[in-house]
Amino acid sequence: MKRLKLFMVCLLALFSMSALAQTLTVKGKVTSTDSEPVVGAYVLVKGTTNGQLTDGEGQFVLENVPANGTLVIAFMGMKTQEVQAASNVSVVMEADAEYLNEVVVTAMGISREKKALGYAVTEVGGDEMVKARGGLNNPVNALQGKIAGLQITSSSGSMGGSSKILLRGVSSLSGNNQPLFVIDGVPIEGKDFNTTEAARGGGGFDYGNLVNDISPDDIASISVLKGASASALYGSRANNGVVMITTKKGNAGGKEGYGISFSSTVGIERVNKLPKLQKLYGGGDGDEFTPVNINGKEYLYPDYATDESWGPKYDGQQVLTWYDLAKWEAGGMVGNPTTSEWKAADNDIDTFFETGVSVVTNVAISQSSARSATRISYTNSELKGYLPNSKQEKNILNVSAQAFSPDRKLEVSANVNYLNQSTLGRSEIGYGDNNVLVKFVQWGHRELDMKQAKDMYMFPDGTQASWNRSDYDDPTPAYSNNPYWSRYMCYQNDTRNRIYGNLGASYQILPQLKFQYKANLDFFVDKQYERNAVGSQEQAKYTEISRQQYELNHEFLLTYKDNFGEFSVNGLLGANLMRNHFEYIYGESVNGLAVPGFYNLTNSVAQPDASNYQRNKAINSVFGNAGMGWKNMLFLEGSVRMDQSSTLPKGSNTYFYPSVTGSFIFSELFPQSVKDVLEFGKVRAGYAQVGNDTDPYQILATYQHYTRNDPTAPGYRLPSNLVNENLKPEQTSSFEVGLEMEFFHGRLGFDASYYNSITKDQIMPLSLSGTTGYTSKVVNSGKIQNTGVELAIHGTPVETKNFSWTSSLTLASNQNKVLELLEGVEYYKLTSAPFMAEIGAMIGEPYGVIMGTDYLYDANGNKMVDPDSGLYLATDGNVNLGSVYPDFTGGWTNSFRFGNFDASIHFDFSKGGKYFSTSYLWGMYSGMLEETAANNIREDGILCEGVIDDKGTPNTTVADAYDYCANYYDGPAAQSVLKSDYIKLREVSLGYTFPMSEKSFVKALRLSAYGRNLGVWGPDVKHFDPEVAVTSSGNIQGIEGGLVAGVANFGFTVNVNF
Amino acid sequence: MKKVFKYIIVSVLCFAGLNACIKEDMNVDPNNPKDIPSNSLMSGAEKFIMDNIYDNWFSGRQCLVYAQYWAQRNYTEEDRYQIRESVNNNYFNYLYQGVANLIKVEKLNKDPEFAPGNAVYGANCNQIAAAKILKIWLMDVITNTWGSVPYSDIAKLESDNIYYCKYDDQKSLYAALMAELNEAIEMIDVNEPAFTAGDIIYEGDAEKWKKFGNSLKCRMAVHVSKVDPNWKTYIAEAVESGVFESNDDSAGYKYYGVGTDYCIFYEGFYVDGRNDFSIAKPFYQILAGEADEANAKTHPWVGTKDPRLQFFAKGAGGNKRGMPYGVPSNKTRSLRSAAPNWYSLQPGHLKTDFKVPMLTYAEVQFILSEYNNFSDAEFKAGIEASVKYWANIYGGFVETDELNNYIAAVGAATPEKVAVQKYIDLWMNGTEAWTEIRRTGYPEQLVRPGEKTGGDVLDSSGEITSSVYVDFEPLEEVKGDIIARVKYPTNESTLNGENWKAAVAKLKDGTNNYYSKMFWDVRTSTYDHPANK
Repeated sequence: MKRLKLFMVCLLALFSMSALAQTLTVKGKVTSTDSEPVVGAYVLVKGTTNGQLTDGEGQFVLENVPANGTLVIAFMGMKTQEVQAASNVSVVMEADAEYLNEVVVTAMGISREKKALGYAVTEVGGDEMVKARGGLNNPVNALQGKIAGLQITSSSGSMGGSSKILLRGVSSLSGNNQPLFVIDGVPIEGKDFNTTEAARGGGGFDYGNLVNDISPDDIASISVLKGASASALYGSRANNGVVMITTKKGNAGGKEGYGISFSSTVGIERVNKLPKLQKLYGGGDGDEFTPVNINGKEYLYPDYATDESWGPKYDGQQVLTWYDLAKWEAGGMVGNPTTSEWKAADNDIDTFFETGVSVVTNVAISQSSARSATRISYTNSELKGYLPNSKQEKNILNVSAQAFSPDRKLEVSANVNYLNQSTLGRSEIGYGDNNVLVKFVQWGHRELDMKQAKDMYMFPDGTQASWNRSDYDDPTPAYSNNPYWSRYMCYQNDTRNRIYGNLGASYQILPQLKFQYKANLDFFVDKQYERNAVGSQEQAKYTEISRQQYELNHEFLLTYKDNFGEFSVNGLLGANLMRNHFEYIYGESVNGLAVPGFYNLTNSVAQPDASNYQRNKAINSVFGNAGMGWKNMLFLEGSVRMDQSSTLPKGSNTYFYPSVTGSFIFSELFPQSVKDVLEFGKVRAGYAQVGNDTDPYQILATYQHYTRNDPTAPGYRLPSNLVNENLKPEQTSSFEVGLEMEFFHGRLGFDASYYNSITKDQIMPLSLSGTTGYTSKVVNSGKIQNTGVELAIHGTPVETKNFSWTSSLTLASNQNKVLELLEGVEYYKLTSAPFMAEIGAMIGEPYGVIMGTDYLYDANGNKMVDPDSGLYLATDGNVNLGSVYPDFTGGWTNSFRFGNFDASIHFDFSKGGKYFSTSYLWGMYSGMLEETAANNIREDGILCEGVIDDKGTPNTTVADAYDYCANYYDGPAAQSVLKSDYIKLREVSLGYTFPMSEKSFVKALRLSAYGRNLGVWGPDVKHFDPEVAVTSSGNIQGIEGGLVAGVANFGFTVNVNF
Repeated sequence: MKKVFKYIIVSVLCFAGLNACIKEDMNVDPNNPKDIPSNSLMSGAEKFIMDNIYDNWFSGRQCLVYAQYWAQRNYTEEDRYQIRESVNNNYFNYLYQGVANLIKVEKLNKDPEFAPGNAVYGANCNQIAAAKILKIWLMDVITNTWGSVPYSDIAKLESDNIYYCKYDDQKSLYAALMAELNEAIEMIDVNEPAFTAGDIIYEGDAEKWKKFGNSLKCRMAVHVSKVDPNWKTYIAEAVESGVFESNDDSAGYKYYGVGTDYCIFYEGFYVDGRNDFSIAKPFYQILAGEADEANAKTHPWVGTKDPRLQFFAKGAGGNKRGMPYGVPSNKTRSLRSAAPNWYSLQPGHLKTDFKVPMLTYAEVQFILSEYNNFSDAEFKAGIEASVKYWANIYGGFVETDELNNYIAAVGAATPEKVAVQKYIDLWMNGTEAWTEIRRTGYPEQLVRPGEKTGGDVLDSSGEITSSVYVDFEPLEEVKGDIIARVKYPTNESTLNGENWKAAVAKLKDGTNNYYSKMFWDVRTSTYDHPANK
């Protein structure tokens, strides 16, 4: 029903009226063609300002109506009606073609007719968010491939890892590039707290970005404002676009009564993507076992201290395995240890992973009456992860309420969300000691049997039993923990409690003029607890981190709308006060833990180490917007905003930026005969500037605490980053044009955009040679350009009463180019991968290039090989090995309906872009990956194709397999650069909606099933899903330091409405 | 209703008005201080420098293995001269950041705005001199690692906007360091404290800093002994001005050992839980008085056990002869059976409060012996001082008789004996030991590329079951000798590209290699000792 949409006040054509006559009181009712009352329709006496909105029954009473007056009744999404005034009128409104009058939520939460906008906005219904309810690692992943130009790359797994979200490419060299998330007007903290170490693949945990806290069950719709024009009103933070989320609410003035909805989803997850590993050779280094003598008996002992798989070939030899030894030691070394066959593992790494199970339940109760509405929703989600000893529980409570004064002019509203989340046993990521995948793929023994590892990860005395023994008589782990020890003993947990929401009041001063005030709060406390047990390979350690942040936005808004003849005008004047405060407290044990298994900072062997950090930021803003329309055909709009930020130096902390957009609905000029084919056509254009500030404390130089080696005089040092007292705001200028067309009564349509944006004066820490005394300096420099095209096509090839097929395709191509860095600077380093290669920005190249040593090529482009070793040669210094970001992305969804059944299938894809894989590097080096034992290379060696001199003499030296694989570390970094192109079968869903009578107790019943991440195809997907490289939502992308297993999700949902 | 509305508006505006003003101090960092006393910066700089030299990376995997004091027990890439790019990039930057901190200490004592206030923490002239001396000590480490490196342009980003520092030719760099060292020595006022607190190296004793300056001058003079005819003049000047007179004067940094203020070698082994290193066999054999039979090489004291053996090579002895140096990783498995397990034994140099050596009194005595044409008196004084110094550091004791017997067994000074005794004394002082190896070619018994390396394989009772010997094959081209330098970091090729290219072009063959020699390294063959010429 149209009236279930958010309503807007429409302004009506105004004609001069001269006749004065007697007046009457008009009572009336407005209904739709299906006899439902139309609530909130605007009824106006033509030529006057006398008007009113219809109440919950669709009724209105207007006094002082001239007897010969005309009433104009307007409601968004319906055709405007005019009727002769009478004491009792009844108006039936017809639905307008829906797709032509789509209303979207725009900046500041204002609903606008989409056709009037001069910029690109895409709206997605809330049901998209819950289609694969239990299978979403991060709720925003539901949007993957569904909105042209919105690029979401997600980490794998299910415990809420980070998603990298980009709209129209990277615009800031070092600042935030994630779009702003706004829920019902509340700007939500959406970034992650992952360490740089975690982002660059060095290790640590991926705690996910905070957009994770969105509650999919409470979302009514999502509106994505793509360009700077769309978001100019939100200011700097909307530089990267805005994702506006509107939550479900009760419907004041709707049918009086209660509604209850219930849904429950049971999901399972299975690891479906693991690297392909060799199964011919066991662990160690060298062909032989070491003879050892125990109780006078000789044994063959494998090389467990070496965590590589260059050991002896499986040949059924009887050897003294770590498991034999551990069992013997656990039994008090009675008698002689057993021996076992040297063979490929019966229980290989795939058996390590369990089946994850999730149950998500949502109950929502809504109540509505003529002047008030409330909705209470509670979501509980319980997940047992696919890794041993992992689980997550979430409780989300959402309450929204609104109430109107009797004249419906004053509205007060509240919307509060409370989230309580606790997680246990996230996977360590990157090159971390307890990332089991590092120990399965990069370093380890291929013959390890997971069942044995599980059976014996701990000795009876509580110490660790690791396969990676220092020696046959020394069980101390050399490099690796037993993977089960990592999971059960060295686990982390974390909790987050978060409240976000707003309180507001609005008053309709005049039918055309409305004032609104809202206080928006986002507050959270995030706690992280990380453990390394006594007896682990690394020293025992306990770390506790507490983060707390609040952000308060006071928002004042005055909106105006009126019509003058063929002209419509609208205006807005507003102010916003933003205050953000962040606190961080860190404590860690020093020199180990005294009591095993007791995790408290007091258990530290030496005095525990503590540190804290605070950050304050404020922005004051005023903004205004004015728009004009002519004959519903031509629209022009302009906005200005001024920000004052606490983070910039006095004198340049206030900055001003404008935007202007226009649109022309050219189909209005066409005769009806043309409109039967080309029903709607619009061109739009917009230009906007957006200013941007930076993080606090980049102006005044400080020192960093370093040591208390002399307890009487604490030692300080210079920081690595030099601040800059002359910073000025960043500036983005963007231009976009678009074309929207609808054909055949909505059966086919498209929306195409072209944009060009340039961000200059970027505030960034420029990497420097340490010889300058610093490794970076904050500078105001750099210029990045993004140009791109976006295309969204939708079509309904078949539509009958019982069957329909709709298809939608989104395509986006973004060309990014770094135009300038600081004068004389060619390259800006973002970070280094843990071992080789780094990520940076280079003039003339797309942002995010992988820098590393390349193959050495001769003049004809042949790879150069060292004639002595037969191995590839590498360049002396680092060169550009390719860009991290894709240049072409998109998605394709097909939805079907057969009677009460519905189904959809969604693919998404990404083309271009590369990543550096540390897993590939070490997986080759250590003899783990399939290639290290394929094609008899261990027996026969391998011939590197290439030339040995400038004359083009081909290489004939066969390299030893071991040396060849070692050359992945010693030789060109380019060998471990993989393509991140992929096509994914992202989502499949199937549902059945039971036909129910409106009068029955159960109003609606639906059963559905989903599958997510079911398949991936691409040039380099043999071992890894390219999305494994994502370990943060920040700018450090394109480095895989240690992967996470790829996971497929399946589940069933039941929805019931009472 | 309108009244209610008015009240709402008014109260909202009042509330907003109170908060609306952004105060300028909101952008003052509450987490880090803007100003600190100069001695706090000196204290931080001293530890920062020590942390980044005496650790398992710059020392453990580079200079300590190049000097063949340590050998890796499992992954031996660095022993075979293949550096880790990320380590090379980072440590180059760390060491220069160390230099920048010291230059800042100088500034805080020179700048009229800060100098008077900082005089409270020690005489300005002494603080400047101490910062300079430590800086020159560190620059000597830097240049002897990479060769020609930036100096005249460094740390001038704030004052002169220099983003790209040119690489100074090593010869002129040495001259500049020498001149600055003279300036620092002359500046010291021994009647005033250098620092009231915070100076871990000398507890603020200006006189000791002066002796350190002069002793450092002797070290640098002897480095250039074959390329600068004035080297003896420098030493004469230093002696005149006052060099170390006893072990008490030796320069070293003692870690507090409390909390995280521990020696980084400890961290590398115990916090990271890594058992990567043990005593290298060549060094063990020198201490144990054993010849290298595999290569038919020897040293002057075959049959004489060094009293320092018990400290340096804890756990070694009998068949445990240390980790053979530079064997391929796949041979380490069996050979490490002969290497003491330092992880479980925790020798003194892996303790939290180890005092890392920077320049010892004994080293000065060996330099003076060389200066006096390998005189016996200084040579013997050096040996005695070294044994006592190290016994003290390890909390041990060497009986006078044992010491005297040893000194007697060592015999009269020769160039080789002086070089090898100095090598033994330079234990844990990787860069200086490696520098002296490159300058003198001694000890002869170190393993050179192409020579045999290996040893016995032991069973759990320490009995020899077999032995493994292989050729020492470096992974990088080193022209048949112990590594001559470390490659310039690749980071510099992107962040300081033009200067990096110019510096690489000046290296032998115009490539960024490991065999280009230091300007003071004029040996013509592996075992050639320029001091003999």
